[in-house]
Amino acid sequence: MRIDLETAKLFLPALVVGITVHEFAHAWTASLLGDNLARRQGRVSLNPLRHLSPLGTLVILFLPFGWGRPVPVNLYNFRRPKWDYLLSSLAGPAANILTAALILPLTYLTRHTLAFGLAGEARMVLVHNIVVSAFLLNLLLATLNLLPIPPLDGSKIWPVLIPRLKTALEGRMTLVFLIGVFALLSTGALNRVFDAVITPALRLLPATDGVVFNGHLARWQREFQAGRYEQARQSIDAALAVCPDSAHALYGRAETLAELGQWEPALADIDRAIELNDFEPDYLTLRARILEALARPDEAAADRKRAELLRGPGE
Amino acid sequence: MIRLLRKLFALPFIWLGQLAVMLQQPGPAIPLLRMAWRISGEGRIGLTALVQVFRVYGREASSAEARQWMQKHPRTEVAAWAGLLALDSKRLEDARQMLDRGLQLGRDREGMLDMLQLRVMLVEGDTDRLRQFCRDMEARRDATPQVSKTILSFLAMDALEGGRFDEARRRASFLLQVEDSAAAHVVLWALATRDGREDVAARHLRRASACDRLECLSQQAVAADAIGDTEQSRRCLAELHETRPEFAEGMEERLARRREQQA
Repeated sequence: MRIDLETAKLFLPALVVGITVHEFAHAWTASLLGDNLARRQGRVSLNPLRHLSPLGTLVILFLPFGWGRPVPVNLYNFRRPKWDYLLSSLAGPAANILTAALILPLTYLTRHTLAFGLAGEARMVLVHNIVVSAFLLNLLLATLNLLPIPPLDGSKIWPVLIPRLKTALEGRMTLVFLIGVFALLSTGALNRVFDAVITPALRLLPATDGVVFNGHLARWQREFQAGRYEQARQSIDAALAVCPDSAHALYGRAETLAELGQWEPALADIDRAIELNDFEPDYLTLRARILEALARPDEAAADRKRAELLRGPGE
Repeated sequence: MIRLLRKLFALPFIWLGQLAVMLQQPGPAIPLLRMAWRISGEGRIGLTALVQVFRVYGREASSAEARQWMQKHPRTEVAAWAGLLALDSKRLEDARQMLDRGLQLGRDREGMLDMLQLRVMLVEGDTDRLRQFCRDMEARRDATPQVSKTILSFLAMDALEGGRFDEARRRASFLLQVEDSAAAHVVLWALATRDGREDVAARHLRRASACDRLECLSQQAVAADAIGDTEQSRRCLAELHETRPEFAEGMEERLARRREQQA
């Protein structure tokens, strides 16, 4: 078994949120319906420490899921035992779906991964990915828990709705089923069930700045190579609107403008690109070409010489 | 802060110990949980360790260890466990002492002290106090399933004995909404017998017997007496005497007490 710290970094906050709201919802609903056992045990709380199972949390190092401590429920304390148990069991998955719905707007708020420039991109991407993980993991927790396999919530929900179905088990058999759930998750046997939920959910997620930027850049490249410079300019303008500090995009626009014969704005762009990255010989070569077109041969020669130095004798 | 640190240090022992318990390996579970208990001082962990000691070394070993722990680090769960073991050994006075100590320390989250209090009261047989305790517990709605089942069964039978037949029927029917219960079926058997619905009575008796034969016999002895069928009550007690004399004696005491109170 391999310890996957990268996955853990992404999924741990998501798992903590998912499990806490799931178990809190069970406890709170049970308490509302008259069963105060969970309240007595301190489980009607949004404090994650009250709900996390040490083993269920550590497992995140090996697998992209985990579990919490089950909330104790006493059916004798309910007024309508069967239906109140159904409601309190449904509350956990329902809370995960509600949490996912609340997290979805956050994915839109954090999609601007280039909001703090290229320097802050890595951190912003991490934040966005954690938010996306929380969204997806809450949906996965809801889906997994609705399966009619003990000790999952579905094993308590479905027998109430389908009277002949008897799946809630006690003691050692629960452990056997728990190992079964592990096996199903580890082998990917449940992937088709999860895909049915995750695939449409992914369509709801916004593209990040990085994805939008790369899309515009790819379109610019295609159109530039095809000689459609006006369209190429529109694409590169769109890319620079997302990330104004991208030296590569500035170089691309300078190149496009040069092809369109707009030398002055091309010079402004390539100057800015070189300001951001003055070790790129291609940038210096382009500026030399633009300067020559603007009848500034001395400066052009200096750029060419520096470009040759940067490229080295072999190139 | 110190409590949190102790708990953190104890965590690996708790996890490994509980894993061993899950895998039905009390041998390694006991030293790990003992260590976890010593570090964390948490009564819940102590209780888990004591239960494992009980499984491997028996009642006396677990009881001795619990009493020893109570002297050094008194905790409600440990007091409750020591009290329950004392009751099992028919040492009512020890159980009462542990109950008092537990009540001083405060109620535990796991509901062990409630169970001890309930069982001590059942043995003491003061029906009025027991009824009041059960009604208070019922109103609080925070008991564990085991305690709830016992108090609701008692209240159903108590209603039958007190001639509050509608209450008895309502309580017994409620118990059966959760799961099959010998006591609930016996109450419904008594009510159906009293109403002359022999087929319903027979069905309830069959189901009560299928749930738990001994429980069925002992409850039937009380229920039959409550509806005036003393002959049936005697037959049940006689049958109970043959299989579990201590059960029969307890029931006879209970019936005698009730007759005294009625007189």
